[in-house]
Amino acid sequence: MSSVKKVTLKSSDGEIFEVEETVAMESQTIKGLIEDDCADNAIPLPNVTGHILSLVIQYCKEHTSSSDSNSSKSNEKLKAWDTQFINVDLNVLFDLIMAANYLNVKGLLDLTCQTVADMIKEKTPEQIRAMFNIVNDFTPEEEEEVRRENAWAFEISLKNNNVVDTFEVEESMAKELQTIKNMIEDNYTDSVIPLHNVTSDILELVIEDCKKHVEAAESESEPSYSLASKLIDDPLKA
Amino acid sequence: KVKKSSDEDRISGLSDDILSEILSLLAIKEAVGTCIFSKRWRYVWTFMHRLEFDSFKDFPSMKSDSFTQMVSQVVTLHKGLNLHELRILFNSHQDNSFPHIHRWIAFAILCGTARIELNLSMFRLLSGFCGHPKVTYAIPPDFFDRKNKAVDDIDHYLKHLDSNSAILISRSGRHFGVDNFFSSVRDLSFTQVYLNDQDVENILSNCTSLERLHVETCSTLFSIKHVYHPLKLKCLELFKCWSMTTLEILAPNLVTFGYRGPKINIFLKGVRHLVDLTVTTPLICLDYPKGISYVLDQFSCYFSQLKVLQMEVEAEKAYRNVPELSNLKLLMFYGEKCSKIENSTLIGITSVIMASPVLHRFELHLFRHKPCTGSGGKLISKGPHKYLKEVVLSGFKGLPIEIDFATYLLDNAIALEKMEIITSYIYLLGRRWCVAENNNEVHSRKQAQLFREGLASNNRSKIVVS
Repeated sequence: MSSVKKVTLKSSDGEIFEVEETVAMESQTIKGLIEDDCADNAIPLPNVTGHILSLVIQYCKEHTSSSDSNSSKSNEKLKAWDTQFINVDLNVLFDLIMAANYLNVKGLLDLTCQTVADMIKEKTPEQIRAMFNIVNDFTPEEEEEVRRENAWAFEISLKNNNVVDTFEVEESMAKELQTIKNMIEDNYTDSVIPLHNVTSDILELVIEDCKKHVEAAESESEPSYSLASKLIDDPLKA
Repeated sequence: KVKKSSDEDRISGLSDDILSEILSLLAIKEAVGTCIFSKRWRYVWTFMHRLEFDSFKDFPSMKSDSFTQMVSQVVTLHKGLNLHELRILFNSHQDNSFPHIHRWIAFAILCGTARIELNLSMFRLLSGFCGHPKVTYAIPPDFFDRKNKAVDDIDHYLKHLDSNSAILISRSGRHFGVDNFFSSVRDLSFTQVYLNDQDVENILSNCTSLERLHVETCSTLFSIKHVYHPLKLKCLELFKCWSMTTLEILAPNLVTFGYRGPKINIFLKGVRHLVDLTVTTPLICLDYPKGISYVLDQFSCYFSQLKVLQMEVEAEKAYRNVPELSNLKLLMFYGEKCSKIENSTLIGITSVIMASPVLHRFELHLFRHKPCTGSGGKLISKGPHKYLKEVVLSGFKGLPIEIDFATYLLDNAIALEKMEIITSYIYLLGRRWCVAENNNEVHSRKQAQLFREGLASNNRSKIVVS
């Protein structure tokens, strides 16, 4: 007959929460207090309001039970729960970040930080400032200086599909030249590779075309489908 | 999902610590780009604890000179505090970038970075051959050497930094020093970088917390011998070091070992915990090993303790008896090197399966294979396999030989719960797997469905096509 050990937490606005010890220990801060025997009375948490504390406790409950029963809750289900959970107002999100940091709940801190990172991704500075109400307090000269200091970070990148096309051409080429491809991939460059089955003029042709193809890829020109098809038609015996 | 807050700017109120945590989750370009938001944000990125420069993924159209300048600029401005990870992947081998590379590593060393990866390989995935290196970067010999140096003797690193970084480092209150690095580094990865035997010896001797070492495409490495002091090493990966002849280490904590290279003298002493082995072999035959018999020759002494075995080897005609893999739970066979799958291949594979009495999961990844004449003996049942529960067959095309194999498994694996048939191609890169498209996906999928329909109902329910 074991009684479940509980701890009492008191939020900044006086709300009292009784929580199982194992759940509370998801917070490394609280865990430390429990282990140092400072948790006999209610633990005061002056930096966390009742509303936020209840959310944190919810998170901890969900994540303790999943680690208990040998991940009977699948990772996918937990991830889905997390996504639902974190779908909150921006103010609440920041409160959660600060609470997770103060209480040292790693999973929650990771989740909240990732959420903010996802909001920043692929947006322009103007959009991000608008989203978070950041005021641009640079003078024009200062802003110019900052841009110059990290010029590369402000270059517009061209997302071209050449890379994908090149990939496809190389794949079909590689399929036909599997042997040579593997030799090259293995960086087998220090000795002479004997190709018993290929005569010297065929080999020359192959090498010539490979060179051309590589140069084409390097100069980022249009993928040379014609080169590849010419190569495939060559009577390769390797 | 429009999140509208009050008019307050709460994000700028977060601490540098938390903000840099958030920035570390972004690509480097976006993270540094936050400097423009406001005065408060100007230097937040300089506290990031993770720096990753992947020229292929993030800067595909950047010229290598610009790339080098960019990384050096970041290294100059970064505060160097709390840097856990520095990853640089790029493919320039012009020697004017070498002094820069020295700087980046010197910087990482002085910051006590836990994980350092320098990948100067010209290859990325299946494409992107960027030209043969004319010169290969070599680690300066004193970087990992510690012999009788005083603890604070960081001059040989400082000489590689520019004056800005050097001042920054000497002025900051933090104790930078050789000791920090050597005891902090946990994970080192060098690809297409010249290290010699002495460099590796220095690394193994001085980096006392080193848990993972990855050396790839290094033709200047001949022998690794470190047997007098036990290593903390948990993971060792040696790929394409074609000049190697010997590997002898005392590594009681080694759990994972990945190898691709010539047949060498391997003595992994005291590796009681080695459970994860990955072996891939090159296609060029000559005297280099290929095939499952190579795996048997070199590694069968560890077979009884392995839990995971990944092999990407050519298949051969005949096998000796396979020693028992009494603990093997997961077996993965990548057929990238087998352009023709014949019955003899599958006989070989099944003999490994049958030698693994507690095998839980088996994966066979075929790769662009061609139909063959199907000679070389039939698959004969050697008795049921009592444990095998999950099977994955990828690169499925519906060829008769695949159908035979799948049927064989269904008949003999009496505990089988699920057989997943995947039409895309899965191949092994280093120790991890990647996916490639199957151009005939529709046809393959149809074949898989047909196969499924043709089975008895109890078997049919076990098959999943994806």
